[in-house]
Amino acid sequence: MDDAERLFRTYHGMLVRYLTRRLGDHDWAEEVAQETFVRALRQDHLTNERAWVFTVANNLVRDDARRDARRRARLALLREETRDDVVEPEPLSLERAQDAALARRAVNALAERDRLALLMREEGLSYEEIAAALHLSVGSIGTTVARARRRLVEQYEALREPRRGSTGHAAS
Amino acid sequence: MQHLDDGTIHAWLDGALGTGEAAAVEAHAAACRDCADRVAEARGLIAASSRILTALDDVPAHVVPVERPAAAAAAWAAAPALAAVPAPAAAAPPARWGHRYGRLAAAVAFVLAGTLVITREANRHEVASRREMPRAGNEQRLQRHSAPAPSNAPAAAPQAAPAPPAALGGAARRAEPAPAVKPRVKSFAQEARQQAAAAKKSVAGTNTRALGEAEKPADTSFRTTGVPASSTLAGRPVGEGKSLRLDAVVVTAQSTSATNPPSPPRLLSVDSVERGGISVRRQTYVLQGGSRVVLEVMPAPAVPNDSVAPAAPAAARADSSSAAIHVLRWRGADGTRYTLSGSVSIDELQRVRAALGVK
Repeated sequence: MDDAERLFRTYHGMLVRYLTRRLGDHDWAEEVAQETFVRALRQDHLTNERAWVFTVANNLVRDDARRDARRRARLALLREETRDDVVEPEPLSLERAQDAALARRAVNALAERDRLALLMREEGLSYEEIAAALHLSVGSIGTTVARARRRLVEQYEALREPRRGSTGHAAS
Repeated sequence: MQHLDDGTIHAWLDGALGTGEAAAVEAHAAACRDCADRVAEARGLIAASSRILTALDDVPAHVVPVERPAAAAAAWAAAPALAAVPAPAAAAPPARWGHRYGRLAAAVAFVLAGTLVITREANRHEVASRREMPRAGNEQRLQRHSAPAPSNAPAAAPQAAPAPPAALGGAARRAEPAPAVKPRVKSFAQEARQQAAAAKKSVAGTNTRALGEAEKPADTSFRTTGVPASSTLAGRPVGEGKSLRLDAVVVTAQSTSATNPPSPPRLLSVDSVERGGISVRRQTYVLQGGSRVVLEVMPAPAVPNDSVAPAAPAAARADSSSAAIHVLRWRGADGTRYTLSGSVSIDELQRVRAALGVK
């Protein structure tokens, strides 16, 4: 197994999951991940490769968001053309779709730094790696992650409350 | 030592502290009740946030999941047996959302099951309406469809309409112009009559024990609700026999539902996260109603702060304050720590735990 294959096998899964959770679009996540690994292959040597991979991916997302809509339209067209080649996912139940929507809203309500720190932590990055990727001090990561977790849960529950209240009212 | 702040607690639980600092935090948490409570709350937040984030993995259509890392793939292969069985070293099949034909088969099964339920419900409605209907009127209606009997024929005269039940039902369908929905219901009723006729035949021809052996699940209810033990079935008028047939339908429906227990939690995904240098396996399950729960399995050596955490299955502190997400934690006989969380009640989590068979 060469270095490129090892890098891909080691980080591709977690990177795509991280990007999917961040972007809410699996295809976009795959695209960013691919570009990240292309750039990684151009590097002669990576000292902190996991932090480097996530840093580059974050930068690509930031740059990608600035591009015009024409590129997205073209990607959508390509996606349509290759639709026959992909396996369709299991249809979401209403409950799961609602759950995913609430989770998305709760995550989006977090501050950018808190959100990225939490998502990277969920992918197993160490505090040092998160600090390197976000250009923060290591000592602040614990507070950042703790705040992100608490706010995420509180936000999620606050979003669920009206639904539960309406359900209870309907039941009574 | 001052009380622990949230950042320190989370860093400790994430295994981000150095050895000396971690030991100091652990000692303080063991001695300070307030900080121990905050540690428990932080554990609940970690589990809850992980569960919320897994919902983000439900992405829009036309995507293919990525290949899982080797560790997660091994955990995937071992997932049905859960943590009690070590993960095999052999390569696991790549994760897929579900085979197209498998989903087709599931859809067909679903439609068939739905049809069965509708059939049973229709039979039940038929039973209810017939029970409310005066027996004489019921008999009169059957006679009208089977033979050109006079409208003032005596209601309790079975000899006037001796047609077999199957032919009777067929004649009724042909003769009666029903509204759009009615033919379907009529066919269910006809089916019920045919089943009941067969039941009556076996009962009247031999004895009740033969029926009990043939339809074991319905045996007790049938005899207690439909057929008095001392009755003379063979000598009963047709009107009596009809009530017997309808009771048999109800009993069949009950026994059918009794044989379909709630489906067990369905494994949705398996992945692993690294906490404190130890890989924690995370398994997401979908319950029957669509709710999702996450089971985290942490090997014994990776568990910090054993002295503070409760050893018996218990809800975390976050449970009492957060109504939406509940967390259940327990430790296995080998010291493995399990964390089960989800937007369901504690009782439901207990049921899930029992269904998964994780001790």
